Amino acid sequence: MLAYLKTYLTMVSTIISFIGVLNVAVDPLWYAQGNKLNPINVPYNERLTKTNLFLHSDRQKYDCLIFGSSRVTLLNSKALKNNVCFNYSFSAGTAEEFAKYAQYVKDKGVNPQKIYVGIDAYNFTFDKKTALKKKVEVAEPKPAYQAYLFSLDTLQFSLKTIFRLNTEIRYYEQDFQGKFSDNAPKYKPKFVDKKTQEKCNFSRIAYYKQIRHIFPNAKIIGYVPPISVWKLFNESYARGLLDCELQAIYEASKSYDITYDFSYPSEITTVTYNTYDGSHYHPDVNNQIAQVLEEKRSNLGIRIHQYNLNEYQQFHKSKLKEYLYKEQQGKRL
Amino acid sequence: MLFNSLEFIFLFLPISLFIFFFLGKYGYHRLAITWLVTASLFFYGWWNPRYLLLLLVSIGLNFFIGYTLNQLNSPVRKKTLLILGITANLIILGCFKYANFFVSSAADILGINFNLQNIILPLGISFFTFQQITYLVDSYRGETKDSKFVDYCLFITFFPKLISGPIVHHSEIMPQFADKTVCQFNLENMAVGITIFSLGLFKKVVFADNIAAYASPVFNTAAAGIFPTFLESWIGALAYTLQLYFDFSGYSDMAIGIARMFGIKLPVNFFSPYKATSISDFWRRWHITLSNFLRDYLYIPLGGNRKGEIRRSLNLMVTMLLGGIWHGEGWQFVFWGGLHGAYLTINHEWNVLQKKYDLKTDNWLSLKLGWFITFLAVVFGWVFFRSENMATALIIVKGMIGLNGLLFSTQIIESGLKKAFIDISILLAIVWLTPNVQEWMGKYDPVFNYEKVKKLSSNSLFWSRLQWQPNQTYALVISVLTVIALLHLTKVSEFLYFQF
Repeated sequence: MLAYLKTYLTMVSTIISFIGVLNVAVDPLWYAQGNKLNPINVPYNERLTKTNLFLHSDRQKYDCLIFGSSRVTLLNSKALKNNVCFNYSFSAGTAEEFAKYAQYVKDKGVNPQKIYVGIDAYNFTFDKKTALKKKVEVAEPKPAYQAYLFSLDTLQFSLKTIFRLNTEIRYYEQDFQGKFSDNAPKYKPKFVDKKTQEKCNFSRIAYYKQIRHIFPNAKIIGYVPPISVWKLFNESYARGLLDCELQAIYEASKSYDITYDFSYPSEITTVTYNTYDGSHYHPDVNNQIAQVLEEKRSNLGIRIHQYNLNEYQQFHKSKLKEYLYKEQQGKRL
Repeated sequence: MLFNSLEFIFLFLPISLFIFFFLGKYGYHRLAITWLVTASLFFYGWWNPRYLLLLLVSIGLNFFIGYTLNQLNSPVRKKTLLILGITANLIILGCFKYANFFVSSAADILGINFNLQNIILPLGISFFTFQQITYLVDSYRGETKDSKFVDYCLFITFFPKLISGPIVHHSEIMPQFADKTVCQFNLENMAVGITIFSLGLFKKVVFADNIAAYASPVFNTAAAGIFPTFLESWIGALAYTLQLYFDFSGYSDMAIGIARMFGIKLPVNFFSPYKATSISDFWRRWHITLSNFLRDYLYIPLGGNRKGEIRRSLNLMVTMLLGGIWHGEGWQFVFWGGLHGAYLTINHEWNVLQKKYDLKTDNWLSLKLGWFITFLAVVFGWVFFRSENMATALIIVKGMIGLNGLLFSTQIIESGLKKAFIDISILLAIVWLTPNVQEWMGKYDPVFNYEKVKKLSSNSLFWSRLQWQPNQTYALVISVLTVIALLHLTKVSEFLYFQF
């Protein structure tokens, strides 16, 4: 019996300890400052990992916050040199989540001078993935001892990271700045023929405005991340959504100090080498955007409020028209 | 505190064991028993300290009544006191457990809109109330004369079985507490206890919690008024059948294993119930200690089978209806109890017919047919047991007989038909073809009454050769199972029977 108990207890404690050490070393949920084995932090659960990163850092140093979807995760917070920013954006992030997380950050004692909010048009056209979440909860981390030592999920994430089994093209470097994988596929877009007339849903506008109520004294800068012209045509224009999406963006940004739009057909969005899917742009592009957001550059993007709504819509459509004619695709209009 | 929580496994249990055996080592037997009572009260209070008072008042009251019953000589006075004692226990149980049900049923009948504020059910109240009733009846019969208060406290509060049983009889456990060797550390008890606990933990967190992913969506969808198809309904019903078994038998194994670490043998609660070849056989194998309680303290006092066939059927029906109501408030539990009452009555009538016409039913085909019909009947009953209300149960039953369409829709069970089919098949193969934990551990008398249930065993020579032994191979196998179970603890879930 003694030998049995000795073997049993030794085995259990050895395996559990090994798994614990492995999980702490890879730290896929960012409890202990991320991966210590290699410089890759894979975004398994960005809501949780970003919260961990936020909670385990010196929160008082942040005078700037960034909210947005996975497109905004590629905006390097260090490229925004005027402030110390925390990038709280995550995959498939929606407006109601930004408002909830903004309140959470405020409750934790952070009082930013500046807030950047990514405004994605998909917030106003619901599908199953982006459906309005009536009850949003912040991904509060469990105590570390539960998350590390005894979590099969964490172990799976750790093993996937070590053996590079993850399929994510987007990842984070050691300093938690978003990057592209070297194996990112080449973007090969096509225009669709399908034409439908769909409608927008404006209920998320209120959540964008809510951020202003949470931080009434902060300078809030909205921005519409770049979208490739193919995606813009296929997902907005061809579905009859372009006008109403622009209207929603225009309305949502009214309570912000400035809002930039990088999503119209431009030298960034009409080429394919700087994106892998037409939505996620290379960090170099995002560095240029950062310069615009800090008003260090003006030849990129537009300021929405220099136009009225009609002019804003016309600007987008004329740019799209111009591009399509140039590419002999005018018949699609 | 949950058995499947880190706090319990790595703090509460080792500390409790260490102090218990430390006191035992230096000959402080009474102190060790008192320590166990203290630890058990802490275990109970961890959930909600407010209800600790209720537990203590209930213990004090029942011990006093039991003590007085032992002192009284007048049969009339004794009977009156016994009735008063049982009534007091049932009133307390009824207030907490059924007040909402009675008020809402009365409001429905009268057509008025009236709701009580939801009363929170104190954890384990059904179990500790029943156990105290057995004590009162045994005191009335003069079988508890030498009880000491601390021993009685431990009899009720002993934490491995406090929340969800097994329901123990006074005579089964009090002599074990009185034995001074109980607090001497024993390697065999520890090895057997850890092994049984690990197997129970594995059954709960790996089998029960994972298979629940197929049951819950189907029952929740039906509760929302959406009609699951034939395949979905069967997947939901079978998954719940497996979930309930692995959950509750896993819990019982954990309780038995923990008690064994302390040198105490608890009675067996499950013995491969889905291998039963008749519904009577099923109730000899499912929640055995509750079945025994209902038999000894309800069915037999009602007259059992001593007053003719009609009266036996009536007694069976009353017993099973009350057994159903004991499980919870709601007409679905009443129906479930009544259904099993009807099953048992049919079963007995069939036995009578067999004897009358000398039908041979011990051949392979008859046994397999009996097993199949029993299993289907049990699965059908679980649909009512699991459903939020009768309407939900009927939606699923309609689905099971094909009235909601046959096709499989991936919207209800996200992982799809193939995965559900594979997972359910694996677990069905385990419950039908492999020995239960008690059989695996059979060489080491894992439970109090193992010899009694051993005759239900039907395992082949092949399986008996694989019985657990304290060797290196088993140490490796059990440690791997333990690690897998521990890795599932981050998804801590409550035991299904906590709600009863």
